[in-house]
Amino acid sequence: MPVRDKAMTLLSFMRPARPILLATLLAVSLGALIFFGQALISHNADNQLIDTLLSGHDITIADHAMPEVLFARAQFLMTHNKLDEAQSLVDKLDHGADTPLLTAAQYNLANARLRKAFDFIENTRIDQAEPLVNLARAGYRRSLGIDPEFWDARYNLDVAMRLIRDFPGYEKTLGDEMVAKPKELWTDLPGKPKGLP
Amino acid sequence: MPVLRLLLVAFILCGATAKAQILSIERQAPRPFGYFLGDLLNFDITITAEKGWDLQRASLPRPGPITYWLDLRRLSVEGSPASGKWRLHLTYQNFYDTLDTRQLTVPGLTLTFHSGAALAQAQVPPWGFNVSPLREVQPAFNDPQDLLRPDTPPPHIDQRNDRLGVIISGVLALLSLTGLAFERGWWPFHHRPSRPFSQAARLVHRHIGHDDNSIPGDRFRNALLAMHRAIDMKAGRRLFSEDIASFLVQHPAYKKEAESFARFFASSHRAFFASDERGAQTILPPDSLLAFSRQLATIERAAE
Repeated sequence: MPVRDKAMTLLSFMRPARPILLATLLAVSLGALIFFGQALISHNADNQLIDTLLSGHDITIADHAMPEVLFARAQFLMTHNKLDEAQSLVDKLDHGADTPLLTAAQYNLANARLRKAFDFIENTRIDQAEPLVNLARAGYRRSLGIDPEFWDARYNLDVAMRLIRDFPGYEKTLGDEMVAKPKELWTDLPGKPKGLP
Repeated sequence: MPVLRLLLVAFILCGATAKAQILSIERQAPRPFGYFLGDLLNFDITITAEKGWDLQRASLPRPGPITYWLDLRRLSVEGSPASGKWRLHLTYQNFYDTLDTRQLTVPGLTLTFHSGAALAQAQVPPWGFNVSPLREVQPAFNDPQDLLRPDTPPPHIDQRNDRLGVIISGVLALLSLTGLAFERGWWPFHHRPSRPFSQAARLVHRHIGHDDNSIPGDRFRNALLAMHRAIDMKAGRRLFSEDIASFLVQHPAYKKEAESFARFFASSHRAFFASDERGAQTILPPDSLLAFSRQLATIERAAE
């Protein structure tokens, strides 16, 4: 029997199965279409939420919102001086989000704290600035722990660390002597805070 | 970044009896200079101990802050008392904020090995390296806010996968729906003329050609097969000679060919079941088969 005839026989055997295969393929692809379509629509709505939040309008968001939405709302809170609420949202990112998002959110929150600390320092309220700077430093360090190549976080950590120098509190043999002299404390600041020598 | 590696071999001499169980400590350290705030330092430490001596896990440093400026990020240990070879991999992260280039020291390790109640200690010496400042000591600025690098803008949700999924599944759904409609004769294929006999007539002509009388058996059989397929398709089921009558009742247009149908099935029976092509061609000569196929095609066209 020539090959062509064998192929014809095979095809004619497949003929009864063809509608079943096609119907199955149709059902599966329709299911996938519904799945992806819904994802597209809901992500589109989420992205509009993000746009609204970033343009400076507050929206309440669901507890189980997408991490990107949580981040956008946290960003809104950071820029509107609600750092503690922003912190609780950033903490939520710690569970579900992919690490780049968490790294960026922690970095932005640390930036917000540092900016607030700058304002305090300019108004010579240094005791209020200090805890903010320390929290900012911890935030940058966490970001860098996840992504050591995050150079912006390194840079800003450097700024924060020069504001308040470390005191080697324990084990003096480790690392260099680091006695922070008062005049070194504010090397980065424009002039000295008013009221101080 | 090319990493120059410095191989540091420290052989512990057999001074104290307790140390005799540690045969060698080898440390592969990275370059000892050019580090910034946030850089990672990787160490590979290979310790050869006498066989049977086990490393006390409690003597290993714990990941976390080692000093206020140094974090231990990762620590992994491979080795077994049976092999006596122990490999440690340590990753530190430097958080020393410096205004000038200066020497720092990663503290040494004291690892305890035990065999039964006996203890031996492996000393990994401290390691010095240079850190460099990240930026100038007194940057010029007007507003302290300008000192900071900007925020990372919150990203939107990436919809590329959603779009790709919609496109691919949509195209697949459309294709399978079209295939199904074609198969079932749904709209827009419901007017598709199905003319199996016309197709069969062409095939029979191709197989038989212009030979009048006797042709090779396989060509004749192929011609018969083509006709069979056409008749089956027309009937919607497999048709045998005893089904001719019911077929002609369902398709009365072909009634006048009843005698040719009978001859066709008789010839086919002889060719396929008796393997007697010569006899088959006597019952239905090739030119008669050709004429039969053309006649059916003509009736088919007329019936529509």
